[in-house]
Amino acid sequence: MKKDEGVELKLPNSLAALTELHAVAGEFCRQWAIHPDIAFKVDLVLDELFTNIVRYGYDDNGFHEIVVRFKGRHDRIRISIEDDARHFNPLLAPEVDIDAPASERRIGGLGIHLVRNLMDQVRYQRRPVGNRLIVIKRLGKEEKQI
Amino acid sequence: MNVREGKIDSFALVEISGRVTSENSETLKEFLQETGKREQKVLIDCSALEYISSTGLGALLVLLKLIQNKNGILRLFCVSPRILEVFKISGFDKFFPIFPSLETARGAGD
Repeated sequence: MKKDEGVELKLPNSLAALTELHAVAGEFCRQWAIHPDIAFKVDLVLDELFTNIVRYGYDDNGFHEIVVRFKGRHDRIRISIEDDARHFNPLLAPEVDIDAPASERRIGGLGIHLVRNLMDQVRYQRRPVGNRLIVIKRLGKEEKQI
Repeated sequence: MNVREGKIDSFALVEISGRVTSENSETLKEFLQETGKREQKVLIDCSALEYISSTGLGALLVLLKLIQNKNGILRLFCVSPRILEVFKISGFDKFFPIFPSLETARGAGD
């Protein structure tokens, strides 16, 4: 993995691919000397986004490819996730009511709520076929290991 | 991810360790459902819990609802700062009592 070129990862639409996604994300964060607290957040965000696509994105049971690209800069990392799933902008989903009591809480929508709150920017792009979600995490001085 | 259950005083003591991802959270949910159906008072040891996704939080929520329905007790202890932040962002810290240690969790009364 060369640091400046970024990393591209092609994964099948299967939750079993999460293991590889986590491994590559971990390696990318190590290459960029990302603070473990940030690496943890990146890991979690990727899990949430990838799982949403695999679980809810497709109308068939066939094979689909999900492409994850990691890019680093001195002050930020940028990750994009591209799929050929049904058009869906998760940023338009209703916000989770985090003040609701446990009895009224559901897990649906919590993943994207975590993504919004753990990253600095989340952008959605509708592709002719499929979707692209881009997340950006800024790196402060304290968040990069010297 | 590993989950196992023991007993301490009148509490069931559940230890969840490792990484709870979307891939293995169903296993955790099934385990905790069994605990929730059987037990009234449950302590969860999170000292070796490294990571939890929203589906893992869902598994904990299922257990909490089962315990609340019988006016039982569910307490978490030794939650790492990273995971505590996930609880706070999710609003889960409002209904999961979180204690610093096993001693404080079991000594907090009924």
